[in-house]
Amino acid sequence: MGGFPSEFELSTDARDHLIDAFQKFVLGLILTFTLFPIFMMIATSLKSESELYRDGLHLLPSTLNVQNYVDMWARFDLVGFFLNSLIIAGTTTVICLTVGSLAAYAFSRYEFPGKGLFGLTILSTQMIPGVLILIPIFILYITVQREFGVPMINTYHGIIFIYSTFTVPFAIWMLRGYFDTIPAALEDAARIDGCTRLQALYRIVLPLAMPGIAATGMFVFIIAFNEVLFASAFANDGVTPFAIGIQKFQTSTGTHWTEMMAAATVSSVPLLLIFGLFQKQIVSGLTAGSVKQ
Amino acid sequence: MGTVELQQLRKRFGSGDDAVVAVDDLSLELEDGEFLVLVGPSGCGKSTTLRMIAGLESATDGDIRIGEESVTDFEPRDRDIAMVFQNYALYPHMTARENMAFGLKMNSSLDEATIDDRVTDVAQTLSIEPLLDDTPSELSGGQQQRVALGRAIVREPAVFLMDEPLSNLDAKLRSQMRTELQALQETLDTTTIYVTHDQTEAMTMGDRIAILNEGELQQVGTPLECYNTPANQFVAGFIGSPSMNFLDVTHDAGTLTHEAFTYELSEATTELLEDQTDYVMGIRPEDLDLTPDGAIDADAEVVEPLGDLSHVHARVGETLVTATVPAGTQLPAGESLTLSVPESRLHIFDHSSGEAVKNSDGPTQEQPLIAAE
Amino acid sequence: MSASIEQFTQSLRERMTVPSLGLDDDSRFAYWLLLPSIAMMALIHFIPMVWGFVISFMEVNDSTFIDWMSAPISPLKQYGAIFQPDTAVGAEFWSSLVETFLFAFGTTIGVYVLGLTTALLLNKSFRGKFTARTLVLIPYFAPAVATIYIWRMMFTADTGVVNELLVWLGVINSTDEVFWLIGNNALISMIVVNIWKNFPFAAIMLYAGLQSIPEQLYEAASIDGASRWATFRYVTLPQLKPVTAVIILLMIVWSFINFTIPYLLLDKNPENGEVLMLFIYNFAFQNGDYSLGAALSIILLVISMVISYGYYRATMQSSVQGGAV
Repeated sequence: MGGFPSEFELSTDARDHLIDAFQKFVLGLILTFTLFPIFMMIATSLKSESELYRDGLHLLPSTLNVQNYVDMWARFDLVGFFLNSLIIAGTTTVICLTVGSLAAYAFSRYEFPGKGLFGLTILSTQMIPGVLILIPIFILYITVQREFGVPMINTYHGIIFIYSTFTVPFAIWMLRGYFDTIPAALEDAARIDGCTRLQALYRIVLPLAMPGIAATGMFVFIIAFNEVLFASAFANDGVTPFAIGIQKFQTSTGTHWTEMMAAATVSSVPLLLIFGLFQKQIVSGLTAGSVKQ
Repeated sequence: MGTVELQQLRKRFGSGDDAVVAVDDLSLELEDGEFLVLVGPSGCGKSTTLRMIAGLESATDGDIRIGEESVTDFEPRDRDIAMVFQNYALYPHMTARENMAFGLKMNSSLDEATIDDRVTDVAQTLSIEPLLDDTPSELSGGQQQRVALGRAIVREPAVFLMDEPLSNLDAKLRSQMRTELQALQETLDTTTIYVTHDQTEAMTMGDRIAILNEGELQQVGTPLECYNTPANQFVAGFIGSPSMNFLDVTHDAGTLTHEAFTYELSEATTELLEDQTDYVMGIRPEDLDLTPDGAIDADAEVVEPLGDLSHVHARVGETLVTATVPAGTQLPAGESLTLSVPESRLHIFDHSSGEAVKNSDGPTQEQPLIAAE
Repeated sequence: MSASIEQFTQSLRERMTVPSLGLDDDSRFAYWLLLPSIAMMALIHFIPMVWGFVISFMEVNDSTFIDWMSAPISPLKQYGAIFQPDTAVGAEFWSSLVETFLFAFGTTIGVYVLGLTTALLLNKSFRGKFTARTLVLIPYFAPAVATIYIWRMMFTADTGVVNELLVWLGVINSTDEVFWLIGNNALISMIVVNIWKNFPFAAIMLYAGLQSIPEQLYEAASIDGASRWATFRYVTLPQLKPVTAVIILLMIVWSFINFTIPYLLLDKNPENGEVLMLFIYNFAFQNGDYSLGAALSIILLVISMVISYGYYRATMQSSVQGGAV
């Protein structure tokens, strides 16, 4: 009596356990893949250069060596690089979000002639190879410098203008999805309550879209923080950002890996901290914008 | 004051081949303090009309006048109107109090204290004072509804615009709010345009009803006018529940012929009919009597007991008709029966144009309960 | 005074009826909202793009580029060279193009498969789920330049941990180290790094897609007696289709024009596996032949547009037919 069903249940139970264990194992593998480079970064930053070149597999440093964290500052102006990156990426984020949210709002709320064409045009900018437009922009900037006396190359505003434009299409795409989730009736109500269209946008829609804006801002910041090609052409001397600065650990005599990893570790901390703090908003903001059909 | 006038209002969406005319040549006039219900099936242009009056949609053609002034090109905020939305559209990031005060803050030069007094006053009228510091997400649907109403009332506008404000409430709350809203409108005496797809709301709430279909105005009149003297077959079918029964007939020398019966008309009625032969008979369910020797042969299909009365669904030829019968009437399915209708209650519509040729003699004005002798 | 201004603008308005273009207020407002973005993109994207297009028909190099307008015009010199196998650029163009395709498709497949697996695993409830989700996202949010250098260090032949691990596992001998950053291996390395960098993005998008699938669909499937696999095949995958389309398109295009990974990982070395972006960079900036770089870029742009368009058409078509991903 009941022997068969209980046996049956037991076997499915066991199978479920097996599947469960297998899934945990796969997730473990993925997390190892994800985190191993980060682990190596920190481990290497704590090794001495001679230990790095020792033969054989030794993942952990034999002694904790914090010397790299001291020396790296002396070799280059890392603080300066990092501040430059914050200024450039930070300002880019503000401009991009301002400009992008206006356009995203137009796409989200209004039907206007040429809407599809505009959308396609904005999308197509994502396919332009940077090297194609680098030289023309360089010539453009030189011309502006020469004709109007406004310095453009190796200035904050020069590179910020480029980055703001580069990130705008992505911001429009993400924010549009987020605005779509906010009922249009709210702006109708606001306009009847005495707002102009623009007031309805910044008094009602923008405050409600804050999580999406924060998530988008995070992405824009990261894109601007990590850009290399244009930075190497347009942001040298006093405005060199971290992405270019860190390459200086690679010298003609070899790469100072241990110090470079120390610098990489230090530079990762603020970004990962921001990400950790706003994780929830970032994930929900990112997904609200993108999962729409 | 709060008069509203729409002159040949037109709204076209899109352009070229895929242009859609949502509202076509609509003219309407509202007196100050009047309660007008704009009713029609979904997609009939009633919401678009309301949004044009609000200034949320621009009119393609025509003129909108509020209080003698043409506001067609005005921004919504300059039109002296307030609106209640279907989903309430309360600002989620503001408390009920802030929601109600927002309009006055944006649109008037009143100081904070005065605004606050007015909000509190209105909140008292609507008995939502204890809720003023809650955010919309903390309120129930009915409470949100009241805050949305309060937000409109506190503005003291010339005109209220309401876009299906009760459609998100459950049935019981809806009928309660219906009464309350009517009483409120009577007290405030503010001109109100109320959009709904629900003919019950239209019948019970409006001083007058304007019925729209496919962007065109079908009829404007008091609820009873629309019910008893519908201008056309659409109005006749839309107003009233259950709907009017329609039977396709041909006319020949005072006799209406349906596939299942014939109906003799009096001479006076015959004179109303022209030479053409195709007409539609319209009979309200309550005018259709179950009599042993009626002119119309039918087969019973199903009886729906509602308690106070019952609806009989029966087949006349191929057409399904509904008749209202006393509660407790029992009819087995398939049972043959005959129905009769007095000619005075009969509606006749032109088959091709749908225009009413003859309407019933039902009252078109409300009558005092005890008629003065 | 002010009256005359009013009159003046009034008469202007009467004479210039064109600007309204028959647009309603909404459209005009929408255009105002778009104006800053469009203006910026015109300056940084479109004008330079057209400009680059023009340059590709000239002979602009590092000695003439400031005064580029006086550079000689030779309409098909660059394109001719690219498609002739006996020129310096033509000899390697096709292999570079193939390399680029492999890079893009390898990355896209890897990112999608790994992303979907991760998303499915994260979609269960278990202890530490929030932590796992946070950790998975780290590669995407860590500074890219730093992380690419980490990988480069790990891939280094003599001291890199990848070879050390392989030796330790007994896969290779300590004497024959694999050169991960040269030749065909370089392609594999680039794909691995690109997958590592981008799969969290796919994972989180797909995770959100999974979360948005209504529970009733799974209940209905289980009532219909669908197996795990059938549920995945007929409920989950079709529901993920819109997100999948976005991810795949973005991955292909982003890989095509990815510069940072090949540039930093392979140390700008033309001997290494060259995807087009690096190939172009070397011709344009190492050799200073801007016109050739521009011509190559135009070809790359056309290819990405054709692929995107084709992909767009294909996904739209299959969605009409109701097929799964």
